[in-house]
Amino acid sequence: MKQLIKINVNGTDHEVAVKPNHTLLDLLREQLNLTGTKRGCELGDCGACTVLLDGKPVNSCLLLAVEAEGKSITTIEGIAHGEELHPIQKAFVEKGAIQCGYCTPGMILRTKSFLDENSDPDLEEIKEALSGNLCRCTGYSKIFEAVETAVDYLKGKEPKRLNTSRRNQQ
Amino acid sequence: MYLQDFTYHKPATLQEACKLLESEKNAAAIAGGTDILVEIKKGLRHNDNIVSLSGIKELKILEESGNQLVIGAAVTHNEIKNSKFIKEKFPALAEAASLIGTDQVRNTATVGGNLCTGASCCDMAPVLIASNASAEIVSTNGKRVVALKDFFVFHKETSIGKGEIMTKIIVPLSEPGTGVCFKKFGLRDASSISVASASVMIKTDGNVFTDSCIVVGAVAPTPRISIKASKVLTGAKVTELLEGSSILKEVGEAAAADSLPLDDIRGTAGFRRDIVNVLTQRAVLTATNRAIKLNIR
Repeated sequence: MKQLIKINVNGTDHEVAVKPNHTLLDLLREQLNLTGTKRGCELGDCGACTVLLDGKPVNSCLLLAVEAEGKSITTIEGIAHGEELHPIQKAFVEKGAIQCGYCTPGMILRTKSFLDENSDPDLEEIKEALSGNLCRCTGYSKIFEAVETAVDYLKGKEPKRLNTSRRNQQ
Repeated sequence: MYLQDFTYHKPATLQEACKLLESEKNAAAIAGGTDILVEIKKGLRHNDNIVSLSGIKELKILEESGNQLVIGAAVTHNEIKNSKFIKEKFPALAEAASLIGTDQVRNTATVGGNLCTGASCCDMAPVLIASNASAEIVSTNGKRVVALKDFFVFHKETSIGKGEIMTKIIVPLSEPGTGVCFKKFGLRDASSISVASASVMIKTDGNVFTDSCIVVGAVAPTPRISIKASKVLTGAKVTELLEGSSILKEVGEAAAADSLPLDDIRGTAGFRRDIVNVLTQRAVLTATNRAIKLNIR
């Protein structure tokens, strides 16, 4: 039997009918069409499905949708300001920390929740914080550089200008 | 991955939850869900009814009560890891909680869930058993309190019966001169299932170990107290241990001898014995340093 739940995603309230065996990941991707959050291992190991639940990172593949009733979820779609990327996103793009992009939403959300609590981490703390997000492409070094760069940007340093706007037709 | 259909219940009280677990067909409780949902996805279990414990506030207590710490069974590992007063009064538990899974898992997985899943590699059990913790278990028939050393029956089998829910874990506060430590070894530095683990509790009085409890994990069907290792350590002199006598090696060997490891995909029995030997020695040293520091006024 479906159940109607109220959930806030990226600042917008939604009322969604979900089956008990739907996970939060299913709800976000299939019912709200927010496909930025990825299906990876679906067993809580890889972190590709990471979203922020009331600000804390969780594996959405292991949360029943019904358990998210009344909660506030942030997905990767929710951290940019319109067309303006979040400083963490800018840092990832600038540093080449994105190859296939599959781990990236989870990485960025985890980075955001980590830097919200620790605004001046050292490399070891960054590595430990991201230990729940696996990447098969980059070997992690560019990701760590991106996090270190993001630390500076969040402290007020001006990010490099990137051409992230759509190309105009000539 | 697919989760089979089930009927979901979200009771508001413990009694309601116990009734549902007793009366509904093939029912299981879910707290964080990080073990049970994985098992359902892998097809290792199927439940027709899932009873959520997330609406029951009394399972989330975390407080000091008299001479005891009371930890609600639905408290998450990160809540334990980040709790100021657990870091102060029972740092070894915060240590154990911080070594489980990943940060994402620790934000939903609960200490009660870790204990009630009852895997042989359960990481919260060794330090709780070494610290003489007990658990309160509630059912429609009332309450009972069980010492955690008696709680585990076999790998993934505990003494929780049908209709029963673990509500809280009660840990006596350490006396001065006590040191507790937890060490874990997995095949990765993070997010790994323990191949072997060891928790050591020691009490010192002056230069003597007056009491000790060594618990080895992931090297037997259940977390296991090593009586042999305790016999070596209790009564020994602290200075002798710290100055590199053979006592430390003997404690490690005794803990390894008391283990009952198996060969599995994470390691052979021999490998596990070797690892638990070293982990026990390291845990004894750390626990001793913690106790001595506490003794310095």
